Amino acid sequence: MNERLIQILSDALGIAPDALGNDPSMDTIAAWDSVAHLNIVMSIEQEFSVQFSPDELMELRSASALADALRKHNAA
Amino acid sequence: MPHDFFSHATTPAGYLRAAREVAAHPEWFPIRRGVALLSSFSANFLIPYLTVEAAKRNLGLNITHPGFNQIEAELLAPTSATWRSQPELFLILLLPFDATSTTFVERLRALCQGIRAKSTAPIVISNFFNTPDALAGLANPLAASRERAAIEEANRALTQLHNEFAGLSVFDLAASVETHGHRTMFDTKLEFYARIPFSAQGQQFLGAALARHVRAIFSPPAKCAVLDLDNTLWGGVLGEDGPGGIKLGEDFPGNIFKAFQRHLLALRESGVLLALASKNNEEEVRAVFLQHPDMVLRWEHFSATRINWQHKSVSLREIAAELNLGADSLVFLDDNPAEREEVRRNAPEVRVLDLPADPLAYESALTACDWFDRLDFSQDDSVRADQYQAQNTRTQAQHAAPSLDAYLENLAMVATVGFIDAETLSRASQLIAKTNQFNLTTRRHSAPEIEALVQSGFGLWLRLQDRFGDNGLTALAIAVPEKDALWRIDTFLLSCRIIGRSAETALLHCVLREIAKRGGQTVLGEFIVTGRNSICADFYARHGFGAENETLWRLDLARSTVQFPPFIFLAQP
Repeated sequence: MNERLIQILSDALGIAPDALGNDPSMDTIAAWDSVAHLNIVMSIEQEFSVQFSPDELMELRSASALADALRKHNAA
Repeated sequence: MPHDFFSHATTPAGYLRAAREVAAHPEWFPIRRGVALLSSFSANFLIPYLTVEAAKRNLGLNITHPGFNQIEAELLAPTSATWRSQPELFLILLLPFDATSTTFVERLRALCQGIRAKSTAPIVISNFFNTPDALAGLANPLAASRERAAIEEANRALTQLHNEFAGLSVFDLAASVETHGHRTMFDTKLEFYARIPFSAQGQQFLGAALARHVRAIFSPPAKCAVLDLDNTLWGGVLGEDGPGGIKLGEDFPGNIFKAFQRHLLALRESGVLLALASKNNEEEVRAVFLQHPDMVLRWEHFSATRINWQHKSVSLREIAAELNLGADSLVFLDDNPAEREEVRRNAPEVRVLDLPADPLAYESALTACDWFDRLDFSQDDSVRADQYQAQNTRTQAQHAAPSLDAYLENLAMVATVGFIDAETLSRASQLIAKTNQFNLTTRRHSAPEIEALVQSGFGLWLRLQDRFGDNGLTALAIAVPEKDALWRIDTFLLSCRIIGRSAETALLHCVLREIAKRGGQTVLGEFIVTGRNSICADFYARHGFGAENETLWRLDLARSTVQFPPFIFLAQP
């Protein structure tokens, strides 16, 4: 998994990178609520210079989905 | 706080993490200012930015935010969470749509009255920017839109409120938007998806600008910029290139230095003192000041000069002593990193500005530096720098005069004394915020607090003129009744400009007379040690007060021997 992505998730959720688990998602991590989600998405957009569509914003609910989307945007 | 603590805070997530760390380490900021953040939009997202940007400026904040559109509910309900948090600052952020309401001014006035009914804490209100919509497309710029007109009117109303309410300042949100531009500051997707009007980048800029404003409220400004000459005020080295070889003029790169000098002159006009600390031969330097046609700064603009070959840390300490300033009131500007390092090492209280290697960036580095930031601009400031010049002439008179008495007599001093009122409040609060040395209690009362104190008792100011000029309003005292015929001198201070002129005795005499007039019989004076005010440690002892304990002094008015000093003439106001 992309290190910068993991760092963003860790910073936004307040959970150490090792403690995030295999594929952290909104369903498995209580701290990943809608406010944290917005923070994560804004951070990824800034860090990787990408713009997600509103649809993507709603669909990208896990680390793996975010990583896939970054690849799709040729950003990682 | 770890040295590289803020390097991670670049993304929203990074700021969130840094803010969490600040909260988890109470020892980083033992004092934290309570800020009530009230807004017509959800500002939760701003809290980490404001917390971290304030921490970068060495300011600890505890921010509470009740959610959007809770301004009235929070301020007008006496038991709201906002009031329970006992805020030391009210920060009200509004957006252009607020300005379009026809009852906008009445609304804000009612809010300020609601705050002032219970608190004297500073109030900050953001001003209004033109929205992209109001500026967009092919619209005729001559046909002013209703929205633009409303925004202009609302901004004028803020000026009016600033005049009506003591301790109210306006945060220049419009300047942030103008500096960074709509495209950077706003994000349509965020606005519609999450009702957040600002982009991630915009939030960061806004947090930094807000923190700078808040810092200026709580931190006293630096008072003097001490400048190097070679490669700082002109290009090249005078001792090597000669007066004709230094770069200063209308063409590149001399025009950079000329513009920088203009910028420094503007800084001086805003009330900041200038001084010189340069390793050069003084005669050669004076010749440049006298003869070089492109010098914007004149020798007379400098309140103190040290042109010699000693360590700059030594020069800086001498300059501080000459100007009666603490070394922490000085900001040192020098292109040479080695000189900056020497000063950092040997005069660590002096604030050292890291001038960039490229002179083109000098001016923006100075603008970005918040050490000179000050929100309250009063009339006295613009003449301050000139007064220090007169002070220099006075110091010379002191050297020439045979005795101190003769010197004082020779000064032909005239004092005017009056009550602190609406007109003098701004200058009074400035003196209270800035005076460090001759300040007996160093209580940093805000303007509304001063108003409250002088209402329960009285406040006196003193203006001192002499044959070299007007020193301005440079001393003040506040006395309040305690019980029965007992009065307490809450505040007593003297600007360092007039120390050693017996003006303190003049003011004390007037204070005691006024207390007696109001039926007081006993007066309590306090001396609170701060580490910087030792100059007035013997003030009450000198004037016949008896020591109660380490800080409290008592005087029975019937036995007072305080006389109006012989060398000052008291003018009728």
